Amino acid sequence: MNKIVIGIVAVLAVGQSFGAGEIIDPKFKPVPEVTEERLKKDQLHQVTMGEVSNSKPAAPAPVANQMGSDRGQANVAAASSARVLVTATQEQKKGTTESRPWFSIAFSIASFGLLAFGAKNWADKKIPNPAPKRGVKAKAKAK
Amino acid sequence: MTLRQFSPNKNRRKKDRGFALIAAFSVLMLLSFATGSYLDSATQTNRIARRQTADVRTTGLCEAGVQSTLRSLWRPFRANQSFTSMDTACAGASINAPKSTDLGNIADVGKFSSGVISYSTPAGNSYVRNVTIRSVGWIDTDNDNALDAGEARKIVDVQARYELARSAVFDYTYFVNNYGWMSGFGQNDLVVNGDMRANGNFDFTGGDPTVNGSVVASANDKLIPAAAGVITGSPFKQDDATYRSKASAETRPGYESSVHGAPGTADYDTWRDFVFQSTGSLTNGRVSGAVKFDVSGTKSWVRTGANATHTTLDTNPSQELIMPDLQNIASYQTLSTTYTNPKATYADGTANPNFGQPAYIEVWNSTTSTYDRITTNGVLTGSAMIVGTAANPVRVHGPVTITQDIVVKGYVQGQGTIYAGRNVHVVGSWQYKNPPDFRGAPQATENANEKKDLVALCAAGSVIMGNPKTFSNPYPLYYMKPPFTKARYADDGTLIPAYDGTQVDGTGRMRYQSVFADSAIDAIASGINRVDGILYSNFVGGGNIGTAGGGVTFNGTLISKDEALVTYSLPLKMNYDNRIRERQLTNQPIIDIKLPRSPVLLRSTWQDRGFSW
Repeated sequence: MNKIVIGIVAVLAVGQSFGAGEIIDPKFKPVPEVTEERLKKDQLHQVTMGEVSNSKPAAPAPVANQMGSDRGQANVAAASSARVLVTATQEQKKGTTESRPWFSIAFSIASFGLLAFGAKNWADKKIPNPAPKRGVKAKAKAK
Repeated sequence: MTLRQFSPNKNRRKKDRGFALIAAFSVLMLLSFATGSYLDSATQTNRIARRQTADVRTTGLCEAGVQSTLRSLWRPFRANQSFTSMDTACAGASINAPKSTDLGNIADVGKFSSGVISYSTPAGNSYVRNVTIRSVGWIDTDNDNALDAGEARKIVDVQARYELARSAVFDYTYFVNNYGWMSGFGQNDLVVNGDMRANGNFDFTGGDPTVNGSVVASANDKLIPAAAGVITGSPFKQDDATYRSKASAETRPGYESSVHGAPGTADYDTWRDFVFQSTGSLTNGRVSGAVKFDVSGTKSWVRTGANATHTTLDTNPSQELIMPDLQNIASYQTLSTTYTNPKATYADGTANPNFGQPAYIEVWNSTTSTYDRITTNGVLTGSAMIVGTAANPVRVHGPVTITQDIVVKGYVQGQGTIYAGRNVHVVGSWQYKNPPDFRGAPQATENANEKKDLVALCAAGSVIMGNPKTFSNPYPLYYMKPPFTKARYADDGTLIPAYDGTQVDGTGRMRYQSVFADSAIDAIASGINRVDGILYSNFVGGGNIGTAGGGVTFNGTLISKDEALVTYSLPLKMNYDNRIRERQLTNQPIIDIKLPRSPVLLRSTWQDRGFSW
C-alpha cells in the first residue's frame, strides 16, 4: 500500500517537474529472471541488418537565433581585420614607430658645437700661433 | 688722406664682433633649449599619463580581440564537438595570412583586430589543436578601420589549446544534463554508491534515499526555466564503518585510514578519488569525501538519523559540466576503424593478450558453434541484435561503431565501447562475464580489476531499457515526451526542441522504438534486474527496469540529457565503477575504453609584443 501511495505521489510530483526521476509502477507483474537455457534460445534470434533508410538520429531542429550578423558586413570586417593584423606585424618588424628623441639629438649637437667653439676661442687666446700667416706680416712690413 | 694705421687689434675686434654674434645666438639657442627642456619636463607627466592611458586602453582592446577569436572558435567546437569547422577556418594560418579574423569596436575606447596566426595538431594526438591568436588593439583616431601611422597600438599574442578531453561526466554514477531528482525513495529503496550530478537543480523529494557519495547541482541558464543550481533535500549517507560492513564486490571501497592513508599523505592522495569517505573535507587544497556541491558552495553533510547537519567547506559555486555529444558518429567510425589496442602489458607486468588487436564485436553462432565477428574494421553499417550466455558471452574489444541500433541482452565479455548511431536497447539483464571485485588491498585489487570486463554502451540517440512493445502511456512514454521533457538552448543560442520519443524519425520508427520490429525484440525481451557497464545517451536514458522483480542494480554509470526510468521493483542500486576515472599520476583510467570526449579550452601563454604610438 505504501508503495502505491509513494508511486502516486511520485507521479504527481513528476507531472509538476521539469527533470526526470524514478517512479514505481504499482501495477507491475514481475517477469522472471532469465536462465542460461533461455539465453541460449534467445541467441538463436541474433541478427544483423543493414541501415533502414538513411537516417541518423533526428538532430534537434535549429531555430534561427538573433545573434547572427550580416554576412557581407562580417566579410568586410574580416578583411579589414586581416589588413590591420598584417600592417601591425610589418610595422613592428621595421621597428618601433615611437617618436624619435629629436630634441635630445639637436640639443646634443648644439651643445657639442658650442663647446667646440668655446674650445677654439680659448685655444686662439692661450696657445701661440707657431706659424703666423705670411700675408699679414708682409703687409705690416710694407707699411 | 686718411691714414689707416695698422692696428693689430682690428682683426681681433672684428673677431670679437663675430664672436658676440655667435655667442648671442648661442645664448639664445641655449635659452630656447632651456625653455624647451623646461616645457618638456613640465609636460612630461601629462604625456606619460596619456601614453599610459593609451597603453591600458590598447591592452584592454587586445584582450577583447583575443576573447572574441577564442569564442568564435569555441562555440562551434563546443556545439559540434569536432574540429571540422575549426580546421576549415584556421588551416594554413600564418603571420602574413591570418585566419578567422575579426574586427571589433568598443565605443569610446578603440578598435581591435584579431585572428589566428598559427594552427597545428600535435604529432600523434588528433584530439588537440594548438592555436596562436594575434590581437591588435588600436585607437582609430580617424575611424577608418585601418591602422594608420601615429595611431597608438598594441600587439598581443595568445596561445591556446582546444582539446577533446576525457569528460568529467564519467566521474559520476548518475549524471543528467537537466534537472535531477529522486522522488519517492526511502532510505533502503534507493542506494547510490557513487557520486551524482545534474546540470541543473537536484531535488530529493517525497522520501530520502541513501547516497554514499557526493551530490552536485549546477546553475544552468540554458534550461527552460533556468536552473538556479541548488540541492533540495538531504539524503541519508552511511558512515565509513557502516558502508564497509555493507560493501559488496560491486561497490567502490570504503575509506580506511590504515589502508588508504591518513589525510594529507601521499597514499591518501593516491586513493581518495576512488573510495567512499563519508566525511567531506578540504585536504591539500582539494575537496575529498562525500559533499554537497551547488551554487552556494561545498558542504559536508551528515545524515544518519532524522536530521541532517551541514558544514560549509568552500563558498565557490559549482559549474556546469559539458556533456560529450555523439551526433557526429562519423568521428567514432574513424576511431573504430583506426583502433588497435595500445596496451602491451598490464600494471602487474603481465602481457596483454589483446595488444595490437583491432576493435570488434563477436557473437556466438549456435549453429556452427563458433564465434562470428559481426563488425568489419570495427564498424557495422546497420543494426544488430546480440545475446550472450554465460558460457558464450558477447565479446567486445575496443571502440566499435554500429551505425544505427544495437539491441543487447545477457552476458558480455571484454573491454570496449559500443557506439550506436541511433539507439541502444537493453532488453534484458546485461552483465559482465568477469565482473570486477573492489574488495581487498587497493593496488592488488586494481591490478586484478584491470583485466576484468568493462563495456560502455553509448547512443547518439537514446538508451532505452525494457521491452518497447510493452511501453505505454504513462509508463514510461509520458516521461519521454513533452510536456515532461523540456526544450533548452544550445550554446550558440539556438533553441533545441524538447525530446519527443513518440516522434517518428527518418527510419519510419518512433524515436523510442528500435529499427527492429517490436515483435522481434519481444521474442527475446525479459526483465531487467542488472545492468553492468557505462550507459551514455545523447538524448534519453529511460524505459522500464526492475521488471523481473527483486529490484535492479546498475554497476557503472548512467549518463543522459533527459532521464525517464520507471522502476518496477525495489531496491534500486547504483554502484560506480571507478576503473573509468583518471588516475592522478598518469592522467589515465586503469582501463581506457575510448569513452566519448568533451571539448575543453586551455589558455596557455599571453605575450605582449609591444606598444607604440
